[in-house]
Amino acid sequence: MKQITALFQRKQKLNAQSLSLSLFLLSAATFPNSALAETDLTSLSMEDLMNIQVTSVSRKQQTLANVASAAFVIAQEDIQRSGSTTIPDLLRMVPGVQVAKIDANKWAVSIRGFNGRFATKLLVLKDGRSVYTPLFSGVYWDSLDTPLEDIERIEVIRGPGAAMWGANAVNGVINIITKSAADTKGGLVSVGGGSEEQGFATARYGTSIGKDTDLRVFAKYGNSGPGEPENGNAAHDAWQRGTVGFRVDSRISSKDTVTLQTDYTRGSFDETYNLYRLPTAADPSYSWVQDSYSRAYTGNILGRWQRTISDTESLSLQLYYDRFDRDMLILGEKRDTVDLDFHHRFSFGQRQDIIWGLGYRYSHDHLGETPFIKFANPQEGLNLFSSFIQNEISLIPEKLVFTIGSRFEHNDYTGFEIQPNGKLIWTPTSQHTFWASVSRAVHTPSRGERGIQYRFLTIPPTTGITPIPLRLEIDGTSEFKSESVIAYELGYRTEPITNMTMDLALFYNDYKNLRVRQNGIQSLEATNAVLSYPLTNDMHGHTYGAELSASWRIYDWWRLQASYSYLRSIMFLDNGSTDEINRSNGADGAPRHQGSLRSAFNVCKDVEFDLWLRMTDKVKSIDSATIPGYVTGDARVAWKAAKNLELSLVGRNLFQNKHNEYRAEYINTTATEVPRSIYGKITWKF
Amino acid sequence: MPLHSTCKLWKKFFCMLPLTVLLAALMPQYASAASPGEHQIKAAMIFNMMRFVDWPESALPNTDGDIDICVVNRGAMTTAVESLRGKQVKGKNITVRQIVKAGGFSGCHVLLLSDTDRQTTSAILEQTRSTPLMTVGDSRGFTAAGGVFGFIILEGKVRFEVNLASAQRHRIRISSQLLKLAQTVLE
Repeated sequence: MKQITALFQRKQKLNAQSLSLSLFLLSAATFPNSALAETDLTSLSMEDLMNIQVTSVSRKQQTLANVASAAFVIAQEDIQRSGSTTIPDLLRMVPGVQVAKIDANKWAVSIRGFNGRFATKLLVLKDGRSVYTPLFSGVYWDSLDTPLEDIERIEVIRGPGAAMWGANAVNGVINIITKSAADTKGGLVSVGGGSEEQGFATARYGTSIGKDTDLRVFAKYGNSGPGEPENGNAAHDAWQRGTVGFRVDSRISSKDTVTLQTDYTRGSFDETYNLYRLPTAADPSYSWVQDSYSRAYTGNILGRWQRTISDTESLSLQLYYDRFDRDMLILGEKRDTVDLDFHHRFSFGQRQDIIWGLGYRYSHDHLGETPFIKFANPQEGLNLFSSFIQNEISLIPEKLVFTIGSRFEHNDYTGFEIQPNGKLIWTPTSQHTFWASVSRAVHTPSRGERGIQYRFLTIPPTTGITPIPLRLEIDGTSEFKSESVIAYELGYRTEPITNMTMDLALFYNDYKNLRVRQNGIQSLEATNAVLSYPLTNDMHGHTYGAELSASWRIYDWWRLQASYSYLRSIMFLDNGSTDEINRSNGADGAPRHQGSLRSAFNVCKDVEFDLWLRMTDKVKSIDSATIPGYVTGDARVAWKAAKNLELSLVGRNLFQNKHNEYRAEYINTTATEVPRSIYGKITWKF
Repeated sequence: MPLHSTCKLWKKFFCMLPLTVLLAALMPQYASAASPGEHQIKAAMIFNMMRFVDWPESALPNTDGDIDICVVNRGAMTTAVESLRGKQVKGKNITVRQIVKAGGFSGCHVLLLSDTDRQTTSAILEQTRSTPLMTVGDSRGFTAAGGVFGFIILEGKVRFEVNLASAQRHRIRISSQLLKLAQTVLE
């Protein structure tokens, strides 16, 4: 009993929010919590009862113990006590996730390897809306923002989630879920500033606008200073970002809920480019360094309707429109996306829980042409049709559950893609859970992989390499195929003692058709030679690793959370490719060892003291240089000065003046180091 | 199709899918133990509410007697509440009984109106307006209609609303510990 209560307190349960897609993944991977079924509910406190997900809205009480995936949840408490101010920095606490800063406003984030600013094997969703751009199948983390106080939780699922979520969920899914408007009533104002986070403010107000309808409006602004230069010149990577939005949640009947939400983010991000060109009489230089900035304007509007037909049956329909506009010195992207998504869950007999769905996405872009990057088709509209079905079968009720399912997609580049998945979960007792999973997932070609022409380097004759100027370019090709993985996973979760949970995941991923550049093709232009490297699928390899995490609430006032991740990656070039750069980036671009230890300590009723220690092994950057590993730590002190007023002081990356984390790949922006920083914050609720 | 040597294998795997579904459907069905449903949670919440509500001495003497939950309708909620029978609150045994005739509310401490239609609800609430009772319901607008505690489902979780004015009319006192957990408090 206590264990269950503890589980609630730790907020580790994946109580799927009404319409978030997570519901489907989880419901498909879980079964009724046997421990809770046997529990005398009257021994639970009111707070605990209020946290139970009820079956009447066709969602089962779901704890991490019952998910057949390597899942980790960042709860609001973790967000608040981390002192992090951005979403990617929060992800540093998740085992198996690699987060590295390239400069003050650029992050490389990946799961289980293949890291980079333009990492391609991750699906990121915010309230059911995909936030990766089909341009390079990655996420511009700088323009992903929301008031962190309004996030209910961030679910991170390592390993392929493609069967439920679709293409690009090759190595994992990150699902950012914001609170319902009903849970954010009242006002909140927070302001703060410091050495790196120079000034920031959030304002939010929530109220009822009808008997069963609630509204939240919010605005957020932040101004961040530059990082530390690696050497010499001052860093040019300060940034500003603002977000406004609202969310309305309405219960239109006892069976139906409707959500309407929108947000708009604008940002300006300084950066320094190293650029190359062919010399002209007027300007004989081959390369130069230029300070510039990127501007991003992104907005979206999303509507969702869910109907609960019975305890075991529900429907959901979601439609969103997303507008993305980004101007960079070397590339411009304007994109409009419309996405429609339908899900239906029902039970078949007493032991089968079936979920199926249909989806359609249309994404139309308009890409700018610069002297550095151009596309064969500057404008393109892409259709994506998808469907999936999954059946969760209780082989032995409460003990052994088998889940089988697949997603079927059709995209304009590679046609049909089939991404199946099979999982087995065994729960011999409520303290022990074992699971195993085999799945296939694909990374479908990005717009860039299919059609980019990127002039990334010009070599002068003075180097002795070439008699005349040699211009190098990378070319996307229409032959570029999907990359694929078959992933084998094993997991074990246990609650060895009261108030402690441990989670172990092992994986072996077998990749095929990975992206590299094939050997260059020479041609001649008027005054120079050209070496074009076509992007091809000429690499295969495998990764394996282990992730261990533990959470221990020693006392009500002290909680420790630790994690360790191990990753090995072995890559082989095929068909004569000599692209050592991408091979070595694939093999060593993510740290082999990573560790994190967090302590959340309530000194007294009104004072919190939190520490976060992080360790990261060395990585090899794209330029073959080795970036050393580092150990650093954050500290936070918060004081509830009055009932509605909190003052906090946060020190970040305290162990050294500055440390290097990563370098940019493909687009040559100057990397900077992460400095030690400090900020203070005042939060007022009314 | 971008699949290569693995293509056939995966096709096979995929072809197995409907077969597996079919086989599973043909297997004998076992009833599985239910996970806690909405009604069980609500019943446990009523139990908690009773701990945080004070009745006037005249209605609930310190010395003797049981604490009575009266149920208006027979339904899933009743079954769940039946499980509270015999448990102890405020040192008293809980009894659960069904109201069978109009006006049979005397001796009730908790009055549960579940699955009752709007007219019945308001008629009963009107009838019991000033008796020392804790009324609980789960119909829409229950507290607005004068009920003391109304259950709602929010994001798949059971929450409750409170009508404080009604509580005063019923002469029951609700602890602030309980009030602060309420989704909305009507004054």
